[in-house]
Amino acid sequence: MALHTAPRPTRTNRRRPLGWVIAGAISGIVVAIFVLGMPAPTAAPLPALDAATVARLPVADTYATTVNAPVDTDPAGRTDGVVVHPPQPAAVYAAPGGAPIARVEPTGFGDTWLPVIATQGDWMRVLLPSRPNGSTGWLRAADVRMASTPYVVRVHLRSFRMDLVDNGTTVGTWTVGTGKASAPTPVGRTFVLGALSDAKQHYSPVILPLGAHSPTHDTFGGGPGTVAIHTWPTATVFGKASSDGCIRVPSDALDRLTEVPLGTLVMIDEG
Amino acid sequence: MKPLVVGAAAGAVVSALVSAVMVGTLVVSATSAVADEPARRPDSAFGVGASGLVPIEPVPSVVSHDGTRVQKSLLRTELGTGVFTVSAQQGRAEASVASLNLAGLLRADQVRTWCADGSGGMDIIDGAVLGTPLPRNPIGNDTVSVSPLVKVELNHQIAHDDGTLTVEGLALTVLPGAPAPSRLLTAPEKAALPGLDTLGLHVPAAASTVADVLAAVPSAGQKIVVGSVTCGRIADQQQTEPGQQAEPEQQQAEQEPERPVDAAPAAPKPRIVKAHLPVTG
Repeated sequence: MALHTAPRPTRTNRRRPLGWVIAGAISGIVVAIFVLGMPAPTAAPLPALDAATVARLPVADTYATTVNAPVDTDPAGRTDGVVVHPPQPAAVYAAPGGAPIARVEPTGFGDTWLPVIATQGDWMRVLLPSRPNGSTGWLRAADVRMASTPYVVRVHLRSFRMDLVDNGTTVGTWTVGTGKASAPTPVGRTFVLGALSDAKQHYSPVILPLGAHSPTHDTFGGGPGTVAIHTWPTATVFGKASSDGCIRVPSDALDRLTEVPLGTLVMIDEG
Repeated sequence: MKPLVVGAAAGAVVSALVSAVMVGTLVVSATSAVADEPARRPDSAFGVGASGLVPIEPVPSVVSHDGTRVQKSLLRTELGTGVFTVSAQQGRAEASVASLNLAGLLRADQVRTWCADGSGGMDIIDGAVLGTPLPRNPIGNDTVSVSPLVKVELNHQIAHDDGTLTVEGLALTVLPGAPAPSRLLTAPEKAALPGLDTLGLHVPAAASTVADVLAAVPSAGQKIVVGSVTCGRIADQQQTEPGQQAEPEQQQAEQEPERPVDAAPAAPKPRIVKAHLPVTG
């Protein structure tokens, strides 16, 4: 693998004009090979962008819209539970070895953990917390820490059911409330973005914002229309489609969900 | 020697000391070069070790021979203080040290070196060698110039013939044959002298010039490595059963994640933070 067979230029080399000349020559050769129909360069790991360059990229967070983000093409697909955390701001790419389109920050609402939905060589494709729904991007494996979560949260809108799955076994099922017809809960796979207590939103001691947004509310209550899981003061909302997109769950369900690692997939379907 | 920065000057001293010790530079890593190598290096990790004139056994050190996760932690070593934690399991190893102080020469809030399924890397939080800041996310085989005498290598990646990868996080080496400037030691350099004893380099208290320091240090080399990990590819390690077909070396097509969940550490439980984010109720 190129990561450990091809020594990268040293910091010193990168500063030398000669280095650029050589780089130019090499890129010329690569282009020539491509034009001549030889095998295209594979998705080899690129040298990390410097911090200043990464900092200039637009952030991909719940307030943002990430332009040119590839859309999740398998919104019902399962993963093996791998989640990644960027210890420092990390560039998000449109494709392995492609153009940088955004950056993800180490923290948002707690540490940032993103679910990995695919890998290719030393690249990992993750779900992003930004609009539009289903936004994804590629991260360099070297830029992130990897961990795993055994959990998946499954939400079935028509039956108002939420399942908590641990290592393939359903360990909890609850009747929940969902978004009303004019502000539906978006279908697809998203993830637990954070765990927060919000002094200005009293209806739930803990709110679990997801990576998804309301398809109808561009903003809501001064926020960016982030869909979340939380509880509700009255049980009458459970089993009803009455929220503006959030998933309202009984308090014991919330207790269980606050133990679930950030980055855990939340699969929302019509069932 | 033309001192570039105060830290660099101090580096010279240290390097001198260390250099005496560390001539070996890149020659042989105490950790990665073994004469009688097994068919495939086991997944392993260590926190800090030294090779050269004054070899110091790597500690803490773990080796996972059968893929089972092993982990060790240590608060203090011969070479320095910090919270050293190392772990290894099938296809994955990590060495991290928090609050590191290596004989006053190297300080960092955290140095983490890792490898996973054939890839590897490192990150450093608020690290500095003799006052010269280190990059947070070094590229592979990075070299940082601290002084003419001290060589600092970061994220040194060694691909072995057996398919395994060793990543040496941070290696300090004193360059052999460096000039011995006769200039007076700076205050930071003098301050660094006591720490050299820790490294096995005994410099007379009367040393007042860089040349004095160099003269007091033997000409052999010394290399100190902070964080070293070795691991192989999980697919390779699983090919132990006869008749089992090998996977393609590099699957370029996009694919579902294949790393077994067990290969990654468990994700942490969330910490509930106080924040304001209006959600869709």
